[in-house]
Amino acid sequence: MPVDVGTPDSLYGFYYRPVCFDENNGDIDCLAGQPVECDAAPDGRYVWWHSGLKTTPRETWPRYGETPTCIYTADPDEVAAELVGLVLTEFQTAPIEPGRFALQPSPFSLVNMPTNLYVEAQEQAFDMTLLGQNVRIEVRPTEYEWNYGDGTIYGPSSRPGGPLPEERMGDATETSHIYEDPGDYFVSVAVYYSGKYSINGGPMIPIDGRALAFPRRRLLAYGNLNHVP
Amino acid sequence: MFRTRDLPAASVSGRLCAAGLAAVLVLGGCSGSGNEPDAEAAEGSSSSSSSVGPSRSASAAPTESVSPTAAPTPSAAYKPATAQGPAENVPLPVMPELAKQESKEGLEAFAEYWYALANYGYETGDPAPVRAVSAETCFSCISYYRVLGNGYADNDWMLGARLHVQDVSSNFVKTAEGAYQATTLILQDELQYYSPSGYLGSDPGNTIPGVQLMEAVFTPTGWYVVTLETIEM
Repeated sequence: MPVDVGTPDSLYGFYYRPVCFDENNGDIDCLAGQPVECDAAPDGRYVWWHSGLKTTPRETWPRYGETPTCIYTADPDEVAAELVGLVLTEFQTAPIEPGRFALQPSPFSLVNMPTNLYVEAQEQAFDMTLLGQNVRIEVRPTEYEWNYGDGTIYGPSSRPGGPLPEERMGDATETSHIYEDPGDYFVSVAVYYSGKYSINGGPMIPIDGRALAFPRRRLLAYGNLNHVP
Repeated sequence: MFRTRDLPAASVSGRLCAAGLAAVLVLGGCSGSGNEPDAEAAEGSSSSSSSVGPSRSASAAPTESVSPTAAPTPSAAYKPATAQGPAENVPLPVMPELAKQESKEGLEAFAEYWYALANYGYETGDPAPVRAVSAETCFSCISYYRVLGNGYADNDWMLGARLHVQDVSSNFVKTAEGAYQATTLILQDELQYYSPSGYLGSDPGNTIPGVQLMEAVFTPTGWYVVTLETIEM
């Protein structure tokens, strides 16, 4: 389901226009001049991509890229209309490896002292066939929301945090947290991934919204200075 | 209506950005460069130069007008930068008449012209034309001057780095500070750094579009950029 983390939609967009075809009749002269062959599958036809800001009229958006790319369908307009919705679904349900979170100091942490928590999450790519086209979806971790398990939530924030060198252990960081009472806490983080997709090697198109993934939560034990669990 | 325009590239010698910047518009600057000589000390090989006034005060209006010297004579042919040497006889972009208008179309034309000046700077190492129309509050400009300063230190130069404006749009609504906004859809070619002793390295441009926000005020001498920043990439 769509995840609304309050991120604005992309400010620009893409669309393609078939070239060399007028009412399903191929223009031989036009086809002969093209630098690429759309023969990987039946009904291959050239399209030029156009890109522009969403605040300018779509029909004025200039061409994007050096060459046309291919769409394999008898009905490019139908593919264009339906593909975006399918891509969004695939993006939301992609088997994203969520990443993991780490903490310092570890394995024992103390109350009233900053624990540095940080996320290690990776960019990933997924290749699939949708409506007969090769689609690649690339995802990238973009925001992080921490649930520290003591009633405190932090985020969504764009900072994943990172490890401190030994000599700085115990320093406060942007993602660190102080637990005030000894005890066990379930700590979890939600990672928001942004995505882009491309059709048959065409331009990477931003996907509006986010896909959510959850690294495995962990039970952390916090003790006093005199009582290390 | 807007069309992709390949603007004449400009070049600057420079040191490499710290690794891992990935997909940052270099116009937005590299934060990790060491040994950064003052940008104003960088001398380009261009035959055109501008007198750069004293640093501007915080007020938006320029305190003096800067007139770049005339473009190279017609007989001096433009030669783009190569691995062997910097660009020569780079023509200084001329401000289009439309860009002098206080209107939506005027600001859009001015924004396009600003990027042409930035490309001129990448080819020549001369930031003066950009400085002439940009305030000190323009943080992307400050990063840009630093890249130019690095790129053209010690007889070094740059290749590539060309900015392509895919689209530009202004809603022409005055902000509380009296400026108007325009957004631009930008691509940038890879930035390559050369010295007389050879190739120094490169920084990625951006092959995926980025969006920049420009805020400009209209002054008696024309549009003046007070803000430029990347808002999507």
